Amino acid sequence: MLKRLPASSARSPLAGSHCITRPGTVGGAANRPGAAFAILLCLCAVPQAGASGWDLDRLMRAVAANAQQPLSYREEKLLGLLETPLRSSGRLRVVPPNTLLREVLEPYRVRYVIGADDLITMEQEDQPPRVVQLGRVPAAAAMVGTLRALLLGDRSALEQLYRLKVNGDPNAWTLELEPRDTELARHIDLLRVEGTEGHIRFLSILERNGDHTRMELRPDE
Amino acid sequence: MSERNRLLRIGMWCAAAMLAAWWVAVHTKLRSDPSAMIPHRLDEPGRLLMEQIQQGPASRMILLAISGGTLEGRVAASRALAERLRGDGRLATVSNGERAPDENLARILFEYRYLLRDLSEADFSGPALREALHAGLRELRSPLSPLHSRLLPADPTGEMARLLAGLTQRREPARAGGVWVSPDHSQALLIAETPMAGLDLDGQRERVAAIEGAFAAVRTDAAAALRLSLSGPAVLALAVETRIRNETTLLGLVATLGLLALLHRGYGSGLALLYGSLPGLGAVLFGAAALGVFYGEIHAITLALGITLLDVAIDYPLHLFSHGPAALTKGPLQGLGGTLALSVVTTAVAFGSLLFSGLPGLEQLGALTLVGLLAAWTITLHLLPALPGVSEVRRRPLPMPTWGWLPRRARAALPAVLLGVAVLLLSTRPAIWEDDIGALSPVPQPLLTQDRALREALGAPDVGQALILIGEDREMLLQRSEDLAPRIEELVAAGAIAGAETLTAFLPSLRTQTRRQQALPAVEQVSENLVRAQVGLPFKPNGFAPFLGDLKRTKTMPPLTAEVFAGTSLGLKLDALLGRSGAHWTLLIPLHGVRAPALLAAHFAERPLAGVSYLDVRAQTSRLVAGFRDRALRQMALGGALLSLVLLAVLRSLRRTARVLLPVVLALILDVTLLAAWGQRLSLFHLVSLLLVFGVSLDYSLFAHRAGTGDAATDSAAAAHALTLCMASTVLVFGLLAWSEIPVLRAIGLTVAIGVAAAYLLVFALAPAPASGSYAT
Repeated sequence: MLKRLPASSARSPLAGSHCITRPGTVGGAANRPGAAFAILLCLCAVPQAGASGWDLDRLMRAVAANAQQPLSYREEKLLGLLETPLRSSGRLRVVPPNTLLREVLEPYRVRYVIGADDLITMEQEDQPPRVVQLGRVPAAAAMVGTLRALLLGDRSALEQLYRLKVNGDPNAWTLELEPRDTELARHIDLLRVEGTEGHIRFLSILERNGDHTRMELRPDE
Repeated sequence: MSERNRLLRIGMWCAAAMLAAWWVAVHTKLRSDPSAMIPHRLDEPGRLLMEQIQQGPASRMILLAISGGTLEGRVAASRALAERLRGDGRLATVSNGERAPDENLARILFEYRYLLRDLSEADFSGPALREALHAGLRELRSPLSPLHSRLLPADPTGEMARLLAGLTQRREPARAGGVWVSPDHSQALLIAETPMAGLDLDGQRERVAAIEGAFAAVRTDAAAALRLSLSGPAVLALAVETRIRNETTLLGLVATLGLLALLHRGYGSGLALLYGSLPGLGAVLFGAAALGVFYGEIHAITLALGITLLDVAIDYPLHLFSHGPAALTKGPLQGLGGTLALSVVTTAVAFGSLLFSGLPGLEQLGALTLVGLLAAWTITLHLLPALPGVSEVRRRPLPMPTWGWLPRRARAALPAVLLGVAVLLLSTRPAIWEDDIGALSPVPQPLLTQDRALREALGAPDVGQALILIGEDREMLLQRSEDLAPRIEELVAAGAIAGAETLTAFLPSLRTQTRRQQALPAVEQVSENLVRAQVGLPFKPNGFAPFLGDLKRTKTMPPLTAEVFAGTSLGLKLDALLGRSGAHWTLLIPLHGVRAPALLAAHFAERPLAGVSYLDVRAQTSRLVAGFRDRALRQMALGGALLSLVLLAVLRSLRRTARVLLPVVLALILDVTLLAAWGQRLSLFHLVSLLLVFGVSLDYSLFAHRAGTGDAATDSAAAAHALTLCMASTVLVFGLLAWSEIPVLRAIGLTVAIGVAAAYLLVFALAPAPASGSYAT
């Protein structure tokens, strides 16, 4: 998996500066000789964050303040089942109080409404909407709900599922989410979010089976 | 009577009572299940369904609702309560929707996924697979991709998703915050299943207490505004039991005090109540012991109704006290003993008609009252005169109506007037009979409404409507169920039902599974198709090896059997719906949303299927109740004819017999008319109460008759005194019952109080005035 990451980063049109500048802190870093150093760096980063007054609380409040801004995204999935990355792009929009609209525009059009109560509605042209309820599969509900909670800046929802750790300063911060729940940890290794001020720019989800999702976000014009 | 004789009698009765009490305590079981009111003649499917209702999983369910506070508070309380109860271990399962579908079940369904649907080569052809892979890629780009990336390698055609959709299609409750809630989100909902059947009320009581204790603990942690309400068959039964006990305790206390005052007023002695209660107590004790000997058990409802009917026995000692023990020693027919004997025999004939009712509870009631009457009679004649101080119980003057107070002309008109009013009133009533036994349910209406709402919100099964299949073994039933599928589809299409819960979706017959195994294409073929389907798609060449492996294994693996599901949630359902019953097996198919029961019944009547019956519990019980009522009426008519013959033989005059019977018949007519005017519809319990009215009013009429024929000066005053106290005590006891909030008790109370008061007035009104002595000669 990790062997694949730099390669795909290089190949990926998504490979932005964030990915390349901090590859070592992505989950699984312990396999690398530089891991200890990376961890040390992280530890050092904490007091710095405090010094600049940048902490989880501020980060979340800043993100929540921007929550309603429509975003466009480009996603790349590196899956064990596939030989090549699976790409898609579209728009994301939060509808208060807690619904997330995810509209896939490329390579085809489909709209997902990720509502409260772990309900997902799938709307496709010339097809009746399909509803999936995830409540019976908590891990799946958590995975689906995480993006919504992140974009909403819903700290308590995130803290129920993950241990959160902030690094960096307001201009370039990273947030690491490590599953608390053993059930969720069976599926997810680590989530990594990068951003500037109240804007989330990049999201990486590393799954336990080696699947890797990378999503780049920017304000939708 | 010598002193020695007296002590001998008392000692004998004490010994007999102790023997009876021992027998009741040691050898007689009290049954409190509803089977007392289920006819013997119920057909096989009906019996099975009743069994399900009483002992099936539905009877073990406790439905919980948390209301009040905020939504977050309710959700948190639901989680905390469920966790605490699961840890407690006294409940078999506790569900609030937060858990994943049981993982074992998912594993089983996944393993057998290619045997649970008709699949053919076409489903695994190149084009079909290519389409499936395209859909797979789409799912991988969806928010659900983490799930699909795990499932796709073994299940590229999405069989499992289809199965799970079928599983969740069963009406799932609404959700908020990951737990079940009512549709308007005002309540958080949970279902607990107790390990014991709903009939085990002691066990159920302990479980209910455990739930309430756990909730109290949870509530102190969270918001105090939360409230817990419980429902379910056992909870309702417990509520009724508590309510009946509270009400009867209070009513019993008031009645005892009232009787004490009444008898003290009538006899000026406290002994009257003590001795007067002996025949009644003896009647219940010996009657119960007799049931213990004959049946080994007593239905609770039999005991309750028996105590009611045997209230007639309090009249016997009152006659004795009012007349004085000396009255017993007169000639056999002129003396008190003769009239008492006639009263007992005729009442016994009336109560005895219950022996042929066909309902176990009422048959027992017939036996109990027959033995009880006999016991009360012998205690009154044999024991009471021997008791110390009984001769000091003397009547004191009471305000009483005079014999024959109704003027002669009015007497002639009375029957016609009463009959006319009755016909007029009853003919304008839409329905006289109450065939819906549920209308008399002792469960308070608000609890019933709440139960229905919870059941609806939780999608808990309603077993009132079902198809029942009977066969020689499991396989035969599963095959029959599969053969039934087109008929069910037809009924759904016709709008008769919304759906049916068939087990064969998850447990097909061996026949079907074998056929499906054979229909699956060869794995080499599918492998080739897959290679072609993958061309141009990003899937790894070997990515679907798990799928091919499973397909290959499925073709030869041993088929799915019911045992495999043991311990899963579907296993519980299987046990509930499919089981052995005596020599054969039965399968229940619960029906949802039955809109036209009549249409359904007609459908299965016109095109019957071997071993399949449609059961509509409500219609069936209504039919049974109506049938029983007709039979009971016929038997009462027969009993009436029989006791008229007895009266005729004893009184040796058609005219005298008619005179005795007239007030009785008029009292019954007046009773029914007044009940109808009161808005009551007559039920089984009214009929049983009318039997008591019949027995009591016949007793009054016989004593009035005796007063007319006997030693006029003393006897008519004594008879009037006795009848007044009899009436007052009966109206007191049953009038109190009429205030009960429990429909059955209210029905009995009203019927008896009105009927007995009417009989008393009519007996006095229609009696010959003693001065005229019209038929004394």
